[in-house]
Amino acid sequence: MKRLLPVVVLLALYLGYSSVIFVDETEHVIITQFGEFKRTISEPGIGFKVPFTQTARRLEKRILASDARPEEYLTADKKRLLADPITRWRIVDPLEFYTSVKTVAEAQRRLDDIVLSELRQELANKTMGEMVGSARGGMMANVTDRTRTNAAKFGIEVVDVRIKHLDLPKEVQQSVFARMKAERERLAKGYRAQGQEESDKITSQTDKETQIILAQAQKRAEELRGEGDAASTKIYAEAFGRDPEFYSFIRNLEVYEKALDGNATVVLSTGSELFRYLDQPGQSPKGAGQP
Amino acid sequence: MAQMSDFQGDDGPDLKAVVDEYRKSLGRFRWLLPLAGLVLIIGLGLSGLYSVEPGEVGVVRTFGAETGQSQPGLHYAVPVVQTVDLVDMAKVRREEVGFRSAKEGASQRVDAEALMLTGDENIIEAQMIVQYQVRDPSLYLFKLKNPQKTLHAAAQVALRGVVGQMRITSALEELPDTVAPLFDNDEDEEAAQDEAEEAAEDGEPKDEPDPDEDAADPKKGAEPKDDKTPKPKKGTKGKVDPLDAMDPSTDILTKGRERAQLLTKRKLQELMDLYESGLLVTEVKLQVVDAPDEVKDAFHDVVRAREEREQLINKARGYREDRVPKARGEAQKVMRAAEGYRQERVLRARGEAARFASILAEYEKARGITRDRLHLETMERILKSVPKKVYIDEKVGRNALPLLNLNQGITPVPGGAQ
Repeated sequence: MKRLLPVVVLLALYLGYSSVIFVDETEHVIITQFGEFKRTISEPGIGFKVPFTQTARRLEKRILASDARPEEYLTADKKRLLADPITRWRIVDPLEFYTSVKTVAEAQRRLDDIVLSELRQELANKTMGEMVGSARGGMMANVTDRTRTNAAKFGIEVVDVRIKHLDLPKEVQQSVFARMKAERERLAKGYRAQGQEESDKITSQTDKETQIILAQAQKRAEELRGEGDAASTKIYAEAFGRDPEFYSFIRNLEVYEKALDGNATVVLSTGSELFRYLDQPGQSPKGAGQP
Repeated sequence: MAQMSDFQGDDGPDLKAVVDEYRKSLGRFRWLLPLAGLVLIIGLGLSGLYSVEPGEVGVVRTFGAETGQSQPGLHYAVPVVQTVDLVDMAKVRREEVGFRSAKEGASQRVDAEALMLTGDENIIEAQMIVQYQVRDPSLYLFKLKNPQKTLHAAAQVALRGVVGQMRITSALEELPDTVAPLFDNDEDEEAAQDEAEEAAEDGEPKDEPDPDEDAADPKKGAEPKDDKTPKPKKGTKGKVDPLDAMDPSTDILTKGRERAQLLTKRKLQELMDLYESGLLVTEVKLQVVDAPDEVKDAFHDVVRAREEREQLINKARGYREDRVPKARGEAQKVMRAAEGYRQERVLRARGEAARFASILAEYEKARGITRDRLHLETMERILKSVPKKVYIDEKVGRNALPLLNLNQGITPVPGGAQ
């Protein structure tokens, strides 16, 4: 009897062990009996089952990803796009999941098929501009909704479907690059022309302004000169007007003096008034004011 | 053999050796068996001890179910029954999108991740660093398979989503404020003219012929304030969205970059929350946002062209700065000269008038005599100063041929007839 004791203990331990299952936070466990589904344990912690006859299968409870292969799609405006969708999902009904797809890999395959066809359908209705830009969010919401409906029968809840990459096929890329290049060249030309234009504008504006400034000054200067001339004329007129004849006399004398300088040759007639006393002294002058 | 058994006996747990010893020495080392058991049990017991470092959280699972979290310090988990995962909450983790850092700071671009389409169907290259921390360790551990990989993919989704709604600058950027012309139209010209005249009369040069400019400046300064005031009203909850404060430009390559960064961060956090990742995105940094290599030159040429534009404009402005003050100076010079002329004319006239007046006064006292005197005096001076004098008697002139040798007497005027 004593010899059998360890054997009994070991047997008991094994029995205990095979009737208890530790369910982790990250998993569902389904219990089957000879392949027949019995129940699901989704609560983490200790679970029980009948030893030997029942087996436990563990299924992932966490959110999983399914990264479908990138494929070419045709948009509504007949442009080709390379899209790489990624689906996030989790198992919500382990039994459905187990009976329909069994493994995660198989589930991913099925999901990808659904996503690809939904995406193709959705993309066919959108132009590339919409697809790349604003419409992407709404469109992916549509794809997510329909994939969710379709995947429900696998016991899967689709969290979302997103497009990880959305690119142009290689050869289209080249033409886009060419277009971008042309656009940039246009811009560069535009900037240079703008610079020239603005520079010319400023320069000519400056020339105009300086010209105006100078002309205004010139105008003002002439006015000032005129004022000076007018004022002096008035002063002269007032002063000389008191005896115009005498003024004329005096001025004439001044002019003679200035005009006849050291270079001049003077030809005088002895008959002139100046020499009237030369031959005949004692005669009175004929008149006044005759030089 | 005896030596070997001694050697192994101390270790105890080697069962085969123990059994061999047991058989051979017939109980000589029998006491070792319980000792080995004890050591085994104590060892197992001690293996339940674990320490949580500062910044870490230990997540304890008992039979697979989460039963608690432990803070930094020494803790005990029942072996076999309990498992502990240590999560570093303080560590700032980092994910690279569009490139991978290699050794020594070099980085390798990953084309498939880096190239993306903008909303206006252009292609740009973007490289991004995402920094994140664990916010909720149990979500982090149990809700999402491979959180790091998920974050990487979601970061791409977010970035491409944002870039897809932005555009490359394709329109010419507006010029920075151009020089305000001094005279805009004819009305202004007249006004300016009047001002210039006023200035000239005041005798003070006016620096700014357009005083409206000064009046307009405070207004310009006030406008942005008016714009800002309604904004805090929107954020009635007390939080001001930094997005509102940002440049609303959607130009990914230039002004919109910061905005793209923030939008990407938000989008990424949204996704990570949806996936119950338990992660907190602390920072999204766009490292590189540029045109792809294939078109980089063209893009850089645009930048150069823009700089050239600025250069040309600055040069023209320099010309303006140079010319306008000089012209003003010139104008002042001309006007001052004219003023001088005016003054001179008036003063001279007054002087001459005064002189004439005083001579006249004397003349009126003895008209005939003064007149003769003045005449004779003048004649005297003239005849004295003139070196060549020819006197011709009228009577002689009738008989003799009056030949005047002009060559001798008249010197040609310099620079005259020739």
